[in-house]
Amino acid sequence: MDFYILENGERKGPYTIEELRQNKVSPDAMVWTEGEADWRRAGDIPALSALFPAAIPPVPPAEQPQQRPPMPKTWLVESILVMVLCCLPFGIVGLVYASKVETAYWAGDYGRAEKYSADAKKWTLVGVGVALILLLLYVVFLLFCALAADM
Amino acid sequence: MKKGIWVLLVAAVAVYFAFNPSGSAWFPKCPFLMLTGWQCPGCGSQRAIHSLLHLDIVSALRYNFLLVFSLPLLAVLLYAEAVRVRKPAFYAKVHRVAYIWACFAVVCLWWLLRNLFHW
Repeated sequence: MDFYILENGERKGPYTIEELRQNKVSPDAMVWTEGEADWRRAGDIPALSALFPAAIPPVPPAEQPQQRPPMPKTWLVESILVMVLCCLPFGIVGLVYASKVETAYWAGDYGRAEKYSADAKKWTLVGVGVALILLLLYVVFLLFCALAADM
Repeated sequence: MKKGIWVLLVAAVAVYFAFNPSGSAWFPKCPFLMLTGWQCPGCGSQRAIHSLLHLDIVSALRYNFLLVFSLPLLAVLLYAEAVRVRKPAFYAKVHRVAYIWACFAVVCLWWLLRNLFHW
C-alpha cells in the first residue's frame, strides 16, 4: 500500500508504511492513500493506526503502604506507678485503657485509640490526684499530732 | 511542665537519699497497709529507693523485690515514651496488650505472694 504525504504544498511519496515509520511521520502530517477521498491527518487513517499507538496511560502510582501515625500515649508507665505506689483501682483503670489504646491502634482505629488515650490520662491523673490528697491529709494529720503533743 | 517533672524528680531523689524513710514519721505510710494490715504491691518502695540510692541492693530487694526489678522496665518504657513520635515502631513494640497484662499479672502475683509468705 502506497502513501503520499502533503508537505508545504508538495506531494511526496509514494512511501510504504515501513518508510513512514522510519521517517517518524507525525500523526498531524497530511497523508493520502488509496481509498481516501482527500488528504487526511495520518493519525486519522485506519491503515496507519499501527504507527501511532494510543498514548499509554500513566502507570498509577504504586499503592503506598499506609503510614501509621505514632501510637497515642498509653499512659502505661503512669498507670503502673499509680497502681503500685498507692491507688490500685485507678491504676487498673488506667491499665485497661492503656490496653484499649493498643488494641484500637493496631486495628487501625486511630480516632478511638486517641480517645482511649485521653481516658487513660484522665484516670491516671485522678489516681495521682487522690494520692496527693492522701499525702496532704497525712501531713496535716502529722502536724495536728505534733501540735497536740506540744500542748 | 516537663521541666517541673525533672525538678520534682531530682528533689525526690535528694530527699530519699538524705532521709531514711524507716526512721522518720514524715514519709507517707501506705493507706492499704494501715487499713488492712496487708502489704500492697508497692509497700517498701520508699525504703527500697533509699537503700538503692545508697547502693545497698540487698536491703532494697528485701524491702521491695518487685520495685528493684521493675526499675529497668520502667526505664525502657520511659525511654519509649520520650521517643514516641520519633520512633513510633519502638513505642508500639513495648506496648503490646500482652505485655500490659503481664505487668498486671506480675504485680498481682507479687501482691499475693508477699502477703502469704511475708516477703
